[in-house]
Amino acid sequence: MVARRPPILCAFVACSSFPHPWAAELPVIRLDTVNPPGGKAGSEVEVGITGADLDEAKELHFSNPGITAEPKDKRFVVKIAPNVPPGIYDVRATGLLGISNPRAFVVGDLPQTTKTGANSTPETAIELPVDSVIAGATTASAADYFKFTAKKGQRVLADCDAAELDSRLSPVLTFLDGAGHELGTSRRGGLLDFVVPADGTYLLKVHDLAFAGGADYFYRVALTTAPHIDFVLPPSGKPGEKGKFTLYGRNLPGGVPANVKGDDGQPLDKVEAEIDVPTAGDPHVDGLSNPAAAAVDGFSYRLSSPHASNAVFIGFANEPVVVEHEPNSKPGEAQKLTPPCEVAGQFFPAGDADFYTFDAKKGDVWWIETISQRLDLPTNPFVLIQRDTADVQEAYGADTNVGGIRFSTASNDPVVRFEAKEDGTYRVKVSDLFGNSRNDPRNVYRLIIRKESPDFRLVALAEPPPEKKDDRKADPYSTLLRADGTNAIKVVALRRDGFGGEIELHVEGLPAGVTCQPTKIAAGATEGIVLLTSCEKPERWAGSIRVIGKAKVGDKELTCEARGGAVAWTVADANVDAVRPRLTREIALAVSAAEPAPVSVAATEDKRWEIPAGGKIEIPLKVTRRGEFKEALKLKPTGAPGLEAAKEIDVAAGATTTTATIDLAAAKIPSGEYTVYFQAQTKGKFRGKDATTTIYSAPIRLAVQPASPKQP
Amino acid sequence: MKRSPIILTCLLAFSATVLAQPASLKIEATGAPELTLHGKDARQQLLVTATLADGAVRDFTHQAAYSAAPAGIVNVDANGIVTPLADGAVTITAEADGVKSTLAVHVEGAAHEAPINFANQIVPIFTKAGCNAGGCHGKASGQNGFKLSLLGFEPAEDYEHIVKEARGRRVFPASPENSLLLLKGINSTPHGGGKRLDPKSDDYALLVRWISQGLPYGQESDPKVTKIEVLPKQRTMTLKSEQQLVALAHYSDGTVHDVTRSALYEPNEKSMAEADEEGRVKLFDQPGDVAIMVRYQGKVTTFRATAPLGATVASLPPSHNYIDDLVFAKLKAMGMPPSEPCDDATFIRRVSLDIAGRLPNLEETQRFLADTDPVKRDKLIDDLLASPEYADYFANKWSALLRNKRTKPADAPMNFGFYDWIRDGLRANKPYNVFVRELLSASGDVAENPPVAWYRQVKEPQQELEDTAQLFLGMRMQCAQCHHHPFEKWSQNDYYSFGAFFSQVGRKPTTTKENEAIFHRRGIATAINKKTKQPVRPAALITGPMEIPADEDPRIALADWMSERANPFFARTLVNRYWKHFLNRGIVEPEDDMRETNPPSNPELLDALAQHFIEGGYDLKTLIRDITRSQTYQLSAVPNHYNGPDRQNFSRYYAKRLTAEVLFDSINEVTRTPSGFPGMPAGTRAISLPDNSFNAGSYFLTVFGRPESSSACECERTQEASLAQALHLLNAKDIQDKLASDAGAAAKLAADPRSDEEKLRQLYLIAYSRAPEARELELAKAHLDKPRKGTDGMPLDAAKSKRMGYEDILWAILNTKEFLFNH
Repeated sequence: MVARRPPILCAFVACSSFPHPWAAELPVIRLDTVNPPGGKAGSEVEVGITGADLDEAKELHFSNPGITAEPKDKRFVVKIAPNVPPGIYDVRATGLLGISNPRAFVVGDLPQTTKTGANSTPETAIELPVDSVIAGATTASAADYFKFTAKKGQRVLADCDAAELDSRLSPVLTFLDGAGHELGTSRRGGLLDFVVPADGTYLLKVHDLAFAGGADYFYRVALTTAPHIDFVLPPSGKPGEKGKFTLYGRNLPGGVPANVKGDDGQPLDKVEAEIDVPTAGDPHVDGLSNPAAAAVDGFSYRLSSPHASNAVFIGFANEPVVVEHEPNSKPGEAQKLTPPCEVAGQFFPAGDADFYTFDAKKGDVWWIETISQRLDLPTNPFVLIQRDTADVQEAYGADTNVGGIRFSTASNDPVVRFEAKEDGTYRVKVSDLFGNSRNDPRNVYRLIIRKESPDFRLVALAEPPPEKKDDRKADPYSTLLRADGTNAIKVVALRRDGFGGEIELHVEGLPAGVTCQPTKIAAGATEGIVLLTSCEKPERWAGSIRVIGKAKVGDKELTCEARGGAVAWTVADANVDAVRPRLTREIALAVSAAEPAPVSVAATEDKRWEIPAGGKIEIPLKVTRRGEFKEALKLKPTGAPGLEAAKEIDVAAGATTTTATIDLAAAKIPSGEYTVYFQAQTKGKFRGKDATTTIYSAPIRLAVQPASPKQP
Repeated sequence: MKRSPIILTCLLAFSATVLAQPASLKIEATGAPELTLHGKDARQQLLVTATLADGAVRDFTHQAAYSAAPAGIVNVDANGIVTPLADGAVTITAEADGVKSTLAVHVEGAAHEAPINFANQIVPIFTKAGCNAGGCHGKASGQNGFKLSLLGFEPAEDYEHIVKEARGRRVFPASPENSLLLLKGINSTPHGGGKRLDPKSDDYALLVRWISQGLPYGQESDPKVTKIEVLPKQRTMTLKSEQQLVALAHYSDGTVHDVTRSALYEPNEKSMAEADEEGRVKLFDQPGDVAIMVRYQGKVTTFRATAPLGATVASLPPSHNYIDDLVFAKLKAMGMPPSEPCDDATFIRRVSLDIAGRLPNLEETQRFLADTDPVKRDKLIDDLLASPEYADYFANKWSALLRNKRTKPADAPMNFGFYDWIRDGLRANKPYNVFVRELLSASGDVAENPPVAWYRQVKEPQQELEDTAQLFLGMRMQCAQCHHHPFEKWSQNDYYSFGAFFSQVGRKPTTTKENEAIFHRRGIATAINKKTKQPVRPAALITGPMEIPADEDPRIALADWMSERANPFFARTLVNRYWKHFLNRGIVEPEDDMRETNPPSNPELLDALAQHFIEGGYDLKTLIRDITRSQTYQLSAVPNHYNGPDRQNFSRYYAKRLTAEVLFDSINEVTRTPSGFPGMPAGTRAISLPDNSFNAGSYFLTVFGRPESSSACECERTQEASLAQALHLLNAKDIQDKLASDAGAAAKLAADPRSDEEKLRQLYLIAYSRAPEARELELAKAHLDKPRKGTDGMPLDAAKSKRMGYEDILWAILNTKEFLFNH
């Protein structure tokens, strides 16, 4: 029976919104805000959360185990261990209805306060000392004012985190003098750089670009003299080696003038740094957020003195890195390259085009890839390959979207396969389609010319099964596995250099009582699922799991751990309003002990079902119905090629058994090992309300053997 | 004693008609020393010009008597039209009041009827007769089944329609006079357009001959019109006088023919002059400049007449800068004495409204009026230019012109972003050419690059070219999309060539299908001329086709061309636009219709403003400083005895109604009742609103004409007065609520313990920036002291009565022209 607990809304938390008025899918816990969305390392901070379906939300789960939380009244006390490095982590709430979607949680090294009370006029400005942080949310139709004293010549940075914290806020920051005169405004990127003209008291004004406000418009603004890195050159290094890098930015310790201005017109400093490039990045902190960046490997770097800087992403370069040498903006100035190699360049100044040449023999194949927009930059690299003056290939961007409307992995970074049709020198032009009037030195690019090296990256998407075909709704979501139930997690593959092979999927880190049958992303396909099945009486559990993919290229076995993907906010129609997808710092799973699955379907026998190709098999199924989920079912078989077209299996209303007949000849299923499952959408009542849910059967192992040769 | 303008006008008219005794005469035909007439069809209008004893020049074409010797070679009629009779040489003499002038004429081939060319000779007849006008057969669908190309721009199509369409039933070569074309034209067969041709006219005879000749179209090698010329080009005329024009067509074979009777004439100021079909211009009694547009075969030129008032300009206020030098020179030439310089109170109100879109506050006014610094006006201008309100006010103007329109609520961040980009640029005084370049070449996502918003609103290359031409070059190109521009030299080829600059604008969806990023699509920019179906290269009106490599964004080439110092349109359009903002009338009017046939009222001034603007690095604040520092800007709006009718010489400040936003804010200021706008912070003024979306919720803004940001035309903002506006100010509920508000000015003034005189003085300073006159003060005090009764008929107590009195005074102030206008 479905647990019929009364809805325990707001038991521990302040709710900013109500659960869905309809239940298109059975509800799972949703986290909207965490206030404050961060704290200082080595401190305790009291936070409140808002969201929906927060029943019994008594725990917070962080992507770093050094951050823990205890409930206190209707809030939480978050303890941040002193050794937790500064960075952006993920936090999720766990409760009766699972583990929530993530919200970002910042660990910093500056003292932090939380905004309380109104500060919408200069007169009511809140004191914000230099080198401190305050967290708050804007009020609609108003601005927040903060005041501070500063000394002449101090370079004070107001650094406002919002979009990177999943906030809806587009921050506008303004410095004002004591008389209310504007001294500088930043409308992009949340950074405002200000050299104090005279000792005195100043104001910092924060508001939304369109004066929107409310709990969802949260921010964390630092007023700091800490270093800020605008960009790093080269933006990549060889994994496992110590590399030499030049950091460009502001307030850099030991920095010298770089003779270049940031996009805000402020002068930048530079400093040389030797950085140990690790062999693997840590996906649990910082990192790139856009879905297409799942294909970009690298790590997050911060300068640590005197206070930690912002994070910059440094990619892993598998080829020798060369730095762009200006002047190379005309064909005649092209820089000679010797592939395989990687060029570190900049789309700077406005309208910059960079030319390179390399020699190729007839039949040589090179993959030419740019990485720029995927570094969370507002660029669109354009690549033109020419021989003499004749065009060979041009590319405007990679249009491949394997993630669907909610999690578009299309990027502006072109990747092209180049095959030399004749011996000769080829010229590559790289420019930014968006850069003809943008003077922003942060807009760096990596131009990689490599031998074909097939590979793949995976993203496990936290999204509910679509309610209907062409569903354009997007919701924050996380997988909740109910007792005796099976649930699916969609996994998409970003294939590289034409890799078309099959990818085997399995899950690690599952709690006791939960199993996963290995599944596959078929050869050439970009999408698959992993199926997780709970035993009848599991322990309640919430945590992170690892989805692993394995594939073979020739004799070489490739292994990849999937990144997580999720959307930050509900969108009713993705064609109308922008979805906010991002990579998550963990893949989460919750197992409910109290709530069993509304309908469980499983083969009566837990065995490997063997059948010759072209045969027909009958599998008796047991259907367990709970609560008011008594409707007739149409079970759709999935899991083997051709099976999608097979006939659905009808289960009468209230029936508890059925037999699934699979005609391998009709479905033209070739021989092989398959994990087959049945899927159906059904209606019932959940907590007295009409609800629709997609159910999955427990996986069935099907071994299709080659047909025996015909007897003469 | 000053003379009255009426007496002066009569005297001037008298002197023009009675006292004009020629000292010398000059007879002209084409401007060449001799005239040669070729063929039987040749005609030539003569032009006889007299120089009077005082050096003035007058048209005597219709006063002169003509004779030709020897006789029999030509005929000259009383209007000075020469027609050939026989081959030979002849001398034509014009005589008036005993003064003579002669012209040698040769006639060749007088008996020869040259083959008729359809395009050169027949089509102009239809144009002159109005057959191919937009309201008749020239409209896209034609009229009653018969279509001609608009104004005859497509002769080949016209030939097809006349000769071949409807199985040739419109022409009857066997009996030309019975052709339907002619029977309709002379209205002997019922014709909706009435009688368009006189059967006795040369035009009719020519049509008959053309039909009888077998309807020739002419040869490809026949000469074509390359340009037209008008004689004289310019003339200073007396009021109510006349001037004969001679229109000459220059052909590709180098010949020149008189087309005076075939050309069309139209004045740009219909209140100043008229021109008849035969090229005779008649001035009315309004002094000023008027241009007569002359059109023939798609070519245009203008005759410019200046009609001075002729009064003595005894003294002029001291010139402050080059603007004054040029305006005063014109006023002197016009004989139009300027008004006196305005007083300080008028100036602070005027300049604050014009630069910052707001009334000066009490403290500013008091300080300014008390200031004895001789350069305090200049300082005030600088302070206003440095104020955030300057950026607010001009961002409001540009935001509307650049179509920052809210189409749906979700677009709010885009609208705010674009507005902020405009405002930030103005605040930082970004050079205008840089501003335009960043706009036109905008690429990327709107969230990262706000001017991309412009491309979200103007989605097609044609719209982009039309807005660009109108906004930045003062050219209205719309007509040229479908046909040769009737009042301009721009052809369809010019139109599509300009559009080619936008042909490589690429669009790609970003976060949603609708949210498009803009980029340059690599390729050779071309556009298809929809008429010829041929591709055309980018060309900016006068540049000729540009060679723009595939890798280069043509929009940047366009912006580069605009920024060239020699560009004749870009700077002139902007300075004219800003001049109008401050002086209420463009040097070219309307400000975005700077076609050749709509010449500036003071070309030297327009050139000088443009030159200074270019040399100053397209500095908008310097331009505003130049204009507002000038004595011209600082003249009183009160006319003197002479300059009342002046509408184009800037002899006084032309008062203008406050715009919707400024008036709204000013009423709030005077009544001390700030209004809120949904979604905006408290205290947001109407001039600081980022887009049009607030109009829907404000009847006030709508009724006073705040634009909806739907076009690139300043004309979308309506400044006309209407009954609805008057009624709104007189008795609308929201105005009454402001007057009666407990937190408002009336309540506060009534409760203020100071004397009524003190409070009234303050009120006048706030509303008018001046102290009240003794009579006004007396009247207002008497009104306040008047006993009042409530609705129940019982006397009101003193406090309530006083408050009601102040409400009345405020109401009266808001409804005065002095308050409603910037003057």
